[in-house]
Formats: sequence, structure tokens, C-alpha cells
Amino acid sequence: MSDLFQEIILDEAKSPANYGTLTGTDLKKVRFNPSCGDTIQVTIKVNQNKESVVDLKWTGEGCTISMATMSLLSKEVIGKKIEDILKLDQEYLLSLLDLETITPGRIKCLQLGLKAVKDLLINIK
Amino acid sequence: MNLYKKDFPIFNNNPKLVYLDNGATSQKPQLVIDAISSYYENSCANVHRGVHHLSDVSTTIFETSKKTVASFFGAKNSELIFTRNATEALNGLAYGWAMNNLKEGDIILVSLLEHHANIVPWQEVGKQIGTHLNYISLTNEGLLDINDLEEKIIKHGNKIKLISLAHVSNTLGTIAPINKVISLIKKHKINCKVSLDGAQSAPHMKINFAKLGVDFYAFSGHKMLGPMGIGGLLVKETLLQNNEMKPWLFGGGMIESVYKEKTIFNEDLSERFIPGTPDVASVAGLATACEYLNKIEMEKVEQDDKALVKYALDQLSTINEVEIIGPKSTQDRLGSVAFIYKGVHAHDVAQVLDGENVAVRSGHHCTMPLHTENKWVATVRASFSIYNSKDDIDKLVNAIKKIKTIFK
Repeated sequence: MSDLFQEIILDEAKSPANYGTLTGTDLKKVRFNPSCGDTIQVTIKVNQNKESVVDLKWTGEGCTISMATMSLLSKEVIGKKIEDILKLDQEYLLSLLDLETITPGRIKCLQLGLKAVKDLLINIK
Repeated sequence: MNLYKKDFPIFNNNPKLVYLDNGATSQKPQLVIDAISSYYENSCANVHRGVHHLSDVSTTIFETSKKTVASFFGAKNSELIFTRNATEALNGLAYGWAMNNLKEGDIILVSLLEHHANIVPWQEVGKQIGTHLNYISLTNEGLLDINDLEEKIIKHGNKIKLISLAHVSNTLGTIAPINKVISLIKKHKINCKVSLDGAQSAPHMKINFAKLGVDFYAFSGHKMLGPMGIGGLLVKETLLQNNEMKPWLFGGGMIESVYKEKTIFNEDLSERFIPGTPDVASVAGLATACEYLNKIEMEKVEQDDKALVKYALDQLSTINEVEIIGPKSTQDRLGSVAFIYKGVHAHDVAQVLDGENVAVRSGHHCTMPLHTENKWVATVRASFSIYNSKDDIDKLVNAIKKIKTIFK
């Protein structure tokens, strides 16, 4: 348990990176975990050939894991190729948090932000 | 020292466990576990379908257990329809009664604190036959707003065909004022049925279906020390006799005769609602749970529960960061205490508590409309059973105090 609340995760959740909303883009997605009440809204800008993400901002309300993971993910995603982003998985998210595993009850929290990002990018072309 | 804890093997196997998630499911006494194993070890055969000895044994267990459960709820044998749980019971009410008796424009009233099981089926009925689902509002304290109910009854009159309410709220603990609801129906002379979601009342108070004055009552066995997979819908006998309540699942067992072009359903009021092989083992387990509770007496169960709720309310209110939700008085609430920890998400609170071996629930507790209405992102709920004690609540409070040290 103590792993989940290590400094890196708590600090990230307290002062999340790329927090806000982008204007001038239609790429907006809200995802919601109904069982625990976590919400994330992601806005994204992609480059002209729609091959990579040039900017991302997000807002949300939720538990430490969902907020910290989204914050860390947002830093990685900006500048990344869309085809690479779509390949990111749970293991990658865990590595961002410096965790080896996560309990089944927190998987949805962990994946919430990435799912929102993927929802936006999957049909981009 | 709690008298009953030793009867529950999970606590012998997990001595540090402080289990406060009984609203989600309750633990099982050894007696209940033994009844289920014993059925499979000694009496396993299909019911009503054989002439061999084991089939007779199994049928006897089923019928005797059914009588025990019906009698526990103060209902006639014929009034008990077994389902998997309260959710399935409420769905059965939707499909077996509402779909067959309501029409476009009819109104179903629920409250804002309902569990999804008492909301979603009514939305689906609305989609299929054009009924409307309206919500009775709550007072600031989370009690049913009786004035709002009366206004709705005056406004809609006989268009209201069903009022379906949580007998005890799984999130706020609010006890529904059933007598006041029934009085209003009588006062304004509307022809309206009343249904209770009893998932959270059956484990905590004596239920006498004959005297409650409602037409339908749904319950879940697994929340009242019984096994998962068994629950029931109690239906007033007259609604079964006049065929207002119709079967909603079809197949073998519930029929009298089947021809190529048509079927005649079983004339037995109970058996027409048992298609396929029933879960006899779970019925036996549930009957054993009823007997176990009868020995304690449900009046005492309720008394002890209220004492725990009061203690929890008192102790939790000493923590500044904790905001308790729901009614302030044990007159109006039963079974649980839910709260918000200011500045820390409910999920994180539950995680910290889990680290201290305290099991609570966090999230919406399947009451999303209630949470949205109150702008609660998520809440934490501690819910009680007969094996909980003030010591458990002290451990809960100590665990909550640890949150400050992690989330500075």
C-alpha cells in the first residue's frame, strides 16, 4: 500500500503537469470511472499530417492514482507519434509510477487517462 | 467482545480483518457454509422432478427452506419468489408486473437516493412502453421529502402507478417513512402500488411483509449472512392470484403442460415463478441464515446496529476533516455511516484504510444520481453487521487519522 502513496505519486497528483484546457481544437474527450467517481477531460492538438501529438492539456477530479498517472502520461505524450501512443499499455503506465504491480481495484484508475487519450487518437485519420 | 464473531470462519482465518463493507456483502456463519456443503455432500438431486429417494430429500430441503425464508419475512409461502438477488427481484417486478400492467403516460416514482437497481429497470420500462420515471426529492439531511411526494401525488393523481423506494438507503442509511407514504396514497385515494428495495433493511430490521402494507419487497440473501446468488421478491398474494404479477422467465418447472403451439403455466402460485433448476443449496444456506438471525432476534439485531451507527456518528464527528453525509439521528438511519474526507479522494481514503486492514467501500455505491445531485465526487462508506463492535469503529477512526500523515 505504501508504494501507492510514495512521494513521486503524491506530488504529481498535488501539482499535476499540463493541467488545463486547450482552445482551438475539436479533439476533446471526457472519460469517467462510475464506480469510483474519477473523471478526466483531455484536449489534444495534433500536427498537420495527424501523425503526432503537439500539445495536450487535461483537467480532472479523482484519486491520486488517476491524477498522478494522467499527469505523468501527459508529459510523455506531447511530441510522441500517435501510432506509438496507441501501443502504450498498463505496464508502461506502471513504469511511469515506478510500480511493479497494482491491485485489481485500482486498474481502472491507472488506465483512465490513457483510455481518454486513445479514444481521441484511435480514429484520427 | 462481540459474541457472534467466532461463528464466522473468515475472522478466524483473517484475525486482523476489520470488515466494514457489509452493505456490499456480509460474511457467512459456519452454519450457512455447512448447510451448502452438506446439501451437495448428502442431498444433491433435482427437485420436483424425480420419484427417487434423493429427489424427495432435495425437494423436502427446498420446500422446508422456502417456508423458513417466507416466514422470516412474515410472508406466505406463495408470496415468495426466489431470484438471484434484490437487483434481479426489481427487474422481475419491472418485467413481470410493470410491463404487463402499465401503459404509456403512467408514472413510476422513485427517490433521488435509489440504488441503480431501483432506477435502471424503470428507465428501461419507460423506453419500452412509454412510462415516465419521476424522482421524489430529499431534504437537506437526506430524508425523503414527504411534502414533495404529496405535491407529486396531487399533481399526477392516478397516473402514478408505482412508488418504489429503498427501505433503507445503502449510501445515506436513510430509513424510508413507509407509513407516511401509504397514508398519503390512502388520503388522496390513488390506485398505486408500493415496492420496497429491502436489500439494506432485511439484514438490519425485522420485516413483517403481512403488516408492512406494501405490495412488493425485494431482498438479497448475501447481504443478510446468506450465500451469494439467492434473494427474493415478495409479492402480495392477491397480485399472484389475479395474475397481475406474471412470470417473466419461462421454461421447465413453471409449466403445467407444453404443446407445440402453446403452454399452460403451473397453477401453483409459487412454482410458476421457478423456471429451470433452482439453486437448492443456496436456498438451504439462506434458510440457515434466517434461522441464525431468528435466534438472535431481529429486534436485537436492529438495536445493536443502531448503537453502532450512533457510536460511529459520534466518533467520526470528532475528526475535523470528516464530513458525515445522511441523517444525523439514528431515528432516521440504519446500517451504515458514509462520509467525505475533505481534500482526499474517497478511493485514496479507502486505500489508506485497507493498509490498516479496515475494509470500507469508496465511490458512488451504485447511487450515482444521489452523488451527482449533491456534487459529491465520491464518498466512503462503513457499513455494519452483527459481528462488528465499537472496537471496529475505533480501529476505523485510528486508520482515518493516518490519512493526515500521508496527505499533508
